[in-house]
Amino acid sequence: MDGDGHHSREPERSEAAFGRNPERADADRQVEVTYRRHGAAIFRYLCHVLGSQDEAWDVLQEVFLSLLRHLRRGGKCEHARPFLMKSATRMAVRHERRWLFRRRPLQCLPAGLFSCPGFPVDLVEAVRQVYEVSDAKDRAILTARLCEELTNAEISSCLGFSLTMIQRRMRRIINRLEKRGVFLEKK
Amino acid sequence: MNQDFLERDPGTCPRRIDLEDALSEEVEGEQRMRILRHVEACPTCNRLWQNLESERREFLARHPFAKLEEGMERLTQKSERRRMVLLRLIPAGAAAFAIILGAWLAFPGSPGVRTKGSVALSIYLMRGNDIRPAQADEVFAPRDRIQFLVSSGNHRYLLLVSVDESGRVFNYTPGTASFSVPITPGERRPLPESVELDESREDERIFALFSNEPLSFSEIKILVEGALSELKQHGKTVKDLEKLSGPWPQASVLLRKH
Repeated sequence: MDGDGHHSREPERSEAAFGRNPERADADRQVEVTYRRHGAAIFRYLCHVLGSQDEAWDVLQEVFLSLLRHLRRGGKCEHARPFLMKSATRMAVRHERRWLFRRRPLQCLPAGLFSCPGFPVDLVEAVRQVYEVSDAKDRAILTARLCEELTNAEISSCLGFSLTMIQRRMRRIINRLEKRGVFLEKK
Repeated sequence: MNQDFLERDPGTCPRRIDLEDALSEEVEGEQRMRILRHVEACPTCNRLWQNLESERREFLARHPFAKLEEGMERLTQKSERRRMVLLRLIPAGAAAFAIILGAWLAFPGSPGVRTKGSVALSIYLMRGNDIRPAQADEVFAPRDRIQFLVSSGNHRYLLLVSVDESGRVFNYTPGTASFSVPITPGERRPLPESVELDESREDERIFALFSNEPLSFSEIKILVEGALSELKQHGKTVKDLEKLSGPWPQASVLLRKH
């Protein structure tokens, strides 16, 4: 664990479990509550960014481990969702960099986005292609824009990217979509 | 977009992220009460709320907290091990890196290069309101709607035919044309028209035949029927009929129905 290398792992867990280390037990409990409240939403977000449920689950574990470490170090987390979203975005980008030279087809796409009364395969395929050629940061921005309907300013505060970077990447995404016949409203 | 999103009024209805915040008690007090009151009054938001609740229930059933704890434990142990190994093996790692770099420079790969003229057939599936690319092991159901995408390097015509287990041959070419239709070369180009599957539970093999001259459906039909009956004599099924005998480039997919 970060910052507590002089303890072995097992005694830490026992102390927390038997209440001899109430702060540690509190952190564990808070992570459990946060997971029950936000786990599903963060998992779905990671699926969209990484395009694979298995990889999303791997990264989700890292996200909650970082929250646990943060809380055990005495950090505060009043609003869990922005903390988790930023953490998930950062870790998804890092995870993707690990596999930089391995381009894999997408297994998961934002299903909510593609649920519609008609059968507009042209549009769905265009968005799918843009997801496929985009990196994790672009996918995160595209998901926030299309699925969560956030504005650039909200995406910036939610994902922890600068507004300038969002605008630059958004322009690139819009160009890619427009080339494939999908036109987004300006926000 | 999601049907619920299409139906809801963006002027008055909260966004999905606001509903999620209310559901996870991220927002409290008057703001949360306002969202809850709206959800009670608005059937579209109510449905979306219930979807979010059921999605959360399903997620927690599939990934309980105990599983996350196990994963976090494993990650912690892994990072400890990695740190120890790195400290001990930095010199060996540097040597290995030099060897790998040398090998990579000596044998450069070319990922993502497509063979000129290669052909492919893939399917999009619409089930309920959900649209997605069909998986390799997809099982199709009656009333599913499918639409085909073709990739072709330089061929000008396409004929799409299928044969089911009982030997019936269908013409899936756009417009049910009796001859191949012209296509534009390109990657994963959607064909016009979608097909709604009937109640038949027999597997179906679909062939996309690419050519530079139009092919006749009636001639290909005889060829397909002959190929299947020959296979059946050897106790095989449409699953095994992966290729037709002919000079044209072709791609095939199996519509599994059970």
